[in-house]
Amino acid sequence: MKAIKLLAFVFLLFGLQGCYTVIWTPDIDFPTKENSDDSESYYEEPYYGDYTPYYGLPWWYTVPPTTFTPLVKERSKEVTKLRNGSEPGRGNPDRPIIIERMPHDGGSTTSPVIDTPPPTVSQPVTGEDAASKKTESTPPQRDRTNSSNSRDTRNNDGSRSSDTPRR
Amino acid sequence: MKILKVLVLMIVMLSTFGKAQNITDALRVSESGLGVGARALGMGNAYNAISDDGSAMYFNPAGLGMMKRLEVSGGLDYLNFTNDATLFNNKTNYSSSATNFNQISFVFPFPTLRGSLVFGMAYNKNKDLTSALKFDGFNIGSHSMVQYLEDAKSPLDDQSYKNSIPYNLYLSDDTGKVSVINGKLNQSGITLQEGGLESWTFSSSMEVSKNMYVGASLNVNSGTFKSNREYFEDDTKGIYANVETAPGNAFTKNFTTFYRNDVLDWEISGWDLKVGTIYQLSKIARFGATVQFPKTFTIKETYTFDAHSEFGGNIVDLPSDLKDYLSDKVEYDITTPFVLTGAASVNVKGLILSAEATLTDYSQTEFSNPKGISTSYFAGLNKDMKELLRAVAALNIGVEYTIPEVGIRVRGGFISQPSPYKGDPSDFGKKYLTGGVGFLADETFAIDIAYAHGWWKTYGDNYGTDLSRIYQDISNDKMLVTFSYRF
Repeated sequence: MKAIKLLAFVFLLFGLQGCYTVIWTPDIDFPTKENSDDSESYYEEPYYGDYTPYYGLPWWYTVPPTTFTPLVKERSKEVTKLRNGSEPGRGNPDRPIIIERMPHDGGSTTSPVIDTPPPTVSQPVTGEDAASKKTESTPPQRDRTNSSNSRDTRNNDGSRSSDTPRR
Repeated sequence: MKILKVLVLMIVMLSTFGKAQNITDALRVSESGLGVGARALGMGNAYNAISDDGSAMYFNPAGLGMMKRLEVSGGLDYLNFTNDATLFNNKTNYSSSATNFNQISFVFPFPTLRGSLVFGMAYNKNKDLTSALKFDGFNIGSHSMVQYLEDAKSPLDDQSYKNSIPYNLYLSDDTGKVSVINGKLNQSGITLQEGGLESWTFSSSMEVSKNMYVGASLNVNSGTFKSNREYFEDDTKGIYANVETAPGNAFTKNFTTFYRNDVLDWEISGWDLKVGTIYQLSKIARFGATVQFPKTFTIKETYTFDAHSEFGGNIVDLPSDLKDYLSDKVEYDITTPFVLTGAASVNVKGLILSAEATLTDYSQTEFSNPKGISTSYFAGLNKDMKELLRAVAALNIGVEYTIPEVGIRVRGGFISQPSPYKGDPSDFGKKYLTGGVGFLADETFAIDIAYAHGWWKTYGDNYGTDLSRIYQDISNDKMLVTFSYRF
């Protein structure tokens, strides 16, 4: 019982948050000399030479501050450049065009049709969003006939771009 | 019931002439050693009010709170124990040495915006139990160990002579009660002791108000101790050359030697708590105080006894069953007293002066929880300690000067530990002169070296009280090196 009481005392002491000491928490940068309230050093310059920092310089002062990159929702120009770069892909003007002749009521041919593959959806979508996005990614035939070959139109589609994973 | 009483009494009596627990055993774990850390030792261990490195966990855990950098440190020590013993005006010199890890520690200051919170963990070799004794002198008196062993036999048991050592070694008559040996023997012997007390220490300290630090150390103690004593009584003057030491046994006519060997082996365990505080007064002074709560050591003791006698070239050994009977394994606790320390250090332009006083009331030391030993024996022993031991104040003084241009510090110190026995003169107290030097490289790596020379007097009796007393002048030299890396 005596041992338990003593141990309880120790742990109480160890866990005690004094009214004076303010400990660092991980959600902020390490304390610096500017924002700390240091106690006076016993080993003062010039009487102790190199022993002054040996005793007095907190180790966390020498740790470089941590930088966090904010998560930006807006598409950057760099991403646009990648999408429209020289690599074969959706924005590549040299990509081969597939032309198919569509059946017609009169058996005659119509204007050439460019058939693009359906857009890739990388992030899971559910419910109503999924339905609307599906509609957007397969535009009506009429649009395709008239202006589907316009790269500007496809790449200016904000909603599709938002489905693309950001890097 | 009567048989039981006789058996209990015999155990008590046998333990008194074999190896009974005694005050020396209690003091072995109660008296402090030379501690850890070369900087501290160089300053005479007047370190309670400095304690701003890993050795704070030993001296004053509050001092950890003043540490701002992570520290890993370790140390080695070398100890040489020399004993000039005098028995019946004949001097004999003997020494023994040991090399040990002194300390390994790690200190972690938690980052703070204000104040401090520091944790530490260490393995400390708190006390070295190395010692040595060699004595050799002719006793002109009419007493000897042989007669003492005979006298110690139980008078209530008519058959107890069968367990009498003189009887079994043919050094007494058939009753085991009367020996023709009547002193005038050369008495000599060697005692070698080794071992130490160690602890795993877990400490924490924090600044509870500006420049006021409070800390605690929880020590998980362990240790070993081994004592090997060989004792001889020789008929160097041929006094018993024509005497049958066991009448009716002609071969006992030429008695030459009685020999006994006592081997004591301890396994030590326990735990204790130390709390402390330090207040720093600006840049000029620090004041420290600690309370060492009583330590409880559990001793698992194995005692092995052997003896023989020699007649001319013939050796008579003790029967193996009697050796087993006289040897034993027991267990008990030793609880040490509170230890209170007050200290101060002053800092003036690179010069640090430090002093402390430590109060220990050794009369509060206790034996308890006997297993294999009679409770009444411990009760008597505790009563003896109350009557024979006293409260003493140990003093430590130290000085250190830093030469900033070269990163070197030089130190000196003095330690005084008065004898815990009532009535002992001052030269029976332990005194040490210490010195040391420290180097610092690249603001991170420090080497500290300390040397301590100690001296004191003591005495011990081979048997009885002041019948065969060995007066001892002891000197103790210790070299300690500590390496510290801060980052």
